[in-house]
Amino acid sequence: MTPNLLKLENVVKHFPAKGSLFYSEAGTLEKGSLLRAVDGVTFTLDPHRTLGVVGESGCGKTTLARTILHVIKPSSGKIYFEDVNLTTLSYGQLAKIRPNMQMVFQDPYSSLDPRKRARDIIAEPLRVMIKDKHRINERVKEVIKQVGLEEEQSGRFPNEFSGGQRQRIGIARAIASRPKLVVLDEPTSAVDASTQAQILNLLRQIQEEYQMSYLLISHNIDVVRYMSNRIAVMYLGKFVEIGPTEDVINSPKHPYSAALVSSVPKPDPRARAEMVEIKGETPSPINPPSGCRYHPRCPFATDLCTQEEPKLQEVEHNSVACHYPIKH
Amino acid sequence: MISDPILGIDDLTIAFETSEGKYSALNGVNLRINPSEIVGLVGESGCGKSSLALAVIGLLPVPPARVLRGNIIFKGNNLLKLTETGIEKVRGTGISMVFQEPLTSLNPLFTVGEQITEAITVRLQRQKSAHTKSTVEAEGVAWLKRVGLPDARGAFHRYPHELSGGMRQRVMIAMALSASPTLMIADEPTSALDVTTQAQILKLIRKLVEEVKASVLFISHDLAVVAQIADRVAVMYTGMIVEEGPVVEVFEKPLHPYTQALLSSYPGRERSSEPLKVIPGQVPNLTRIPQGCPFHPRCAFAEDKCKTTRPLLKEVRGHNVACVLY
Amino acid sequence: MTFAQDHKDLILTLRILRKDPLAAAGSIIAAVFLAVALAVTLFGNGVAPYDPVAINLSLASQPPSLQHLFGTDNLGRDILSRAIVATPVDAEIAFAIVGISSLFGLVSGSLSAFLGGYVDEVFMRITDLFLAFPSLVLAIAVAVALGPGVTNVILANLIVWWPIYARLSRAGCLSLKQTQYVEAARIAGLSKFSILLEHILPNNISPILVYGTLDVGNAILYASVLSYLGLGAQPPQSEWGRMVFDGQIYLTSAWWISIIPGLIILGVALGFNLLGDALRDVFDPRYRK
Repeated sequence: MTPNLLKLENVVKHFPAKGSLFYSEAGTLEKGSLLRAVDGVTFTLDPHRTLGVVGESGCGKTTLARTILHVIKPSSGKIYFEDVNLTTLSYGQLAKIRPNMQMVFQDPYSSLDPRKRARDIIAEPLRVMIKDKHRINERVKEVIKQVGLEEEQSGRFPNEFSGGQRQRIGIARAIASRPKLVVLDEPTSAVDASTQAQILNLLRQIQEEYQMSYLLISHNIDVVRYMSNRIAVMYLGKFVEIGPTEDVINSPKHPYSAALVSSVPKPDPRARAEMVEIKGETPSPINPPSGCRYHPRCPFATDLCTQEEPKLQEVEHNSVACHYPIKH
Repeated sequence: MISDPILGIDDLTIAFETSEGKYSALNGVNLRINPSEIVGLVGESGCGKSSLALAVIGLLPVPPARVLRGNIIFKGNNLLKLTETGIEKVRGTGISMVFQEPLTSLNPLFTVGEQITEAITVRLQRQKSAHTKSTVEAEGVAWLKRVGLPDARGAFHRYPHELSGGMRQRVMIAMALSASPTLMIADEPTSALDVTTQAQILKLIRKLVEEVKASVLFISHDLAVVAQIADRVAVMYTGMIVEEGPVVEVFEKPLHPYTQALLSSYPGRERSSEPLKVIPGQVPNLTRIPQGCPFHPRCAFAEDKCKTTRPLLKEVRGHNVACVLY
Repeated sequence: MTFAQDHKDLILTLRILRKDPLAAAGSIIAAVFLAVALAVTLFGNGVAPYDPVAINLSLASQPPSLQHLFGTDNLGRDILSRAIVATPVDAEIAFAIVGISSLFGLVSGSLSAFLGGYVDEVFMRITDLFLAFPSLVLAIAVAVALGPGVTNVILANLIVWWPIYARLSRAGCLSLKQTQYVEAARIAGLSKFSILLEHILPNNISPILVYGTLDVGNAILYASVLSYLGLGAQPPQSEWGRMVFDGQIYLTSAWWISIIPGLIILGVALGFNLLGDALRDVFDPRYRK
């Protein structure tokens, strides 16, 4: 049995909520209240696979990504990378593992230091592993070509590149150290349609070549569908459904997954399907509803749903956290 | 029954002088909007769609912008020939606007109620209808309810920053429609919203616009959103309309190579091993638009003619295309 | 890489200085100030048209004329010459104060913000302590305690000047810590020290540079005040503030003895203020592509 590349066990990240403007709901902030950004997430990711995490604003996916990469320390829970528990490592020990897990950021304009040249930015993840400057330069040149940029451009500063090119620099930085896992945090949300297609193609190509795993965080279901083997749907800090991509998209079992998938507009004017009903707006992660967190918005909610929080259970290939999963 | 279009834009050409040269925001735009019709204007960033919206509602700063050619005819009047007072009269009851980010377009210092009653009062004054503070307020609350705000009376007394993004956008729509406009311009109204909220807002716009019988110019970079809401769609590239027609026609049988390329680069398919079709090159900077057909450097079907002739919109098989091939 | 790409900040600075008349005025004043200071330091009092020390009672209290552009003082000394010769004193004081305190403030503020926690809290309270004193009063008190002289003026002012730079640098550092590229550097595994040195300090320099330039004007003012009060440069070395003091009894009869040095102080301070404003525009993101 091949070991998982990444394994999360009940990972939790809470922030103390001191008047956060996350969602301005008057009167819900009390002293000592917690912002439950990630509230118990468990999953595994195998080598050379892509897991897409979809969810809307406030669901905690960005916090989840940063917790996995240990930019933020989890409040509780375990994170295993190649069977090593990351939460038990010191800063120095963690630094040695870092070349294996990297990230591509959403915003090409703020993820590159404006005062550093492109080639120096790309070289950063290599400096922990390689001391020989010559080898570092060689690798940087190799990676620059791989992402479709010219070697002559490598000495330029970020503001001399376009948004799409900057995103390529960010990708080059992420893959320079040949990581086994790359977290893609909304990699194409800040670029336009034609650039998006180029970036996604590049990411797929690189994944094939390096045989790496991707954890793709996005609110754009079409992008996630195109890139992922499995999809997890996140709502208020928890996964409500996780399963093979086509199963979750075509036959979603959780009412939220169904609403989410049906809300996504398709570029087909004949397919103006009615979306699965969803009431109101996402509540604040500071005071999640009792029982099943989705119950206030769910058209099928019963008393049970207000009292008891459903656990993830297997339903036909997917894991779903719902008392009344939709049968297809 | 064919009636006159409420908005007719003819050969509109507007440029800015910048330190890098002439920035050609709009290059001969031709567009018609009919009564009770939703027209979707779609294009990538930098194609000039926001400039067009601002030009129509008179918010383009002139100077530094200069109108080089063309007309904007709204209900028989050329908007470009109006003075500032003239344009103010058109705004609200004639043409109203919904912007992308309501936090910056709603005044943070006034409550929602104060802002919506202002819009209603302007309309009533223009119609010369009698009104009292309480009737205006009642109508304001009714509108907030109509756009689906859960606690309309409570929201009436709140400030914009106390509401969520989706709720603020509903308020903007309420303000725009309560003025009973003939035309509502919506510039990327759902781009900053979550997808479930977006679906709710699109449904709301479709429903309300039919009820008040307004027309909409719905601007978006997202093809899918436009497919869901528009009756007709116009595709914009470097400041001109390259294809325009009924939404089903344009999406199912796109004629212009740019439209075809945009549609096929959409990642709506499953995880297959096929790479997405990519449009080579980049959207040109509006200070350096290519000669002839502006799309020719990136076009798979370009011929010699394309480098020199600038194609005009022509009717072909049911909709309009600006391409040398036809 | 072309010169232009490497030095884009410089090119942008020059472009702004050319276009904006106030910026141009500021830079000219600052340039003249520096040039005169340098000239006097290198070539001595000979740079001035007349001997600044020569007493000639027959020429006492002459109003400004073609021979004596700024007039003469009560001892017949040419005021223009005295002003010229006084320039390096204030230049030395101002640049020493601003240079040393900004450097110290940059490093200490960035370190404090970077280390965070207890260290940061204590550091903040220390800066609070210094900032609580009215700075001019404190500077005077220290200068009096140490005794007159240029070095002591510098020392006295350093004490009141550094906390602002420390605060400025700390604030900048705190916001830089949140940027995505610092996050990326952490994910890349760079040591905290490398991140501080390579990412935070270089990006923190611009606000310090802007404020420092503005501050040179203030420093000149403070130096003049201390000299006016008799601390600072001692006669026969002339100094603008001292000249203002010496001439004030003659305000009604020979106004130029006091007023003209005062205007010079004002003009130079203003010049650096304008230059600092222009630099602020250079680093304002609106001007960047």
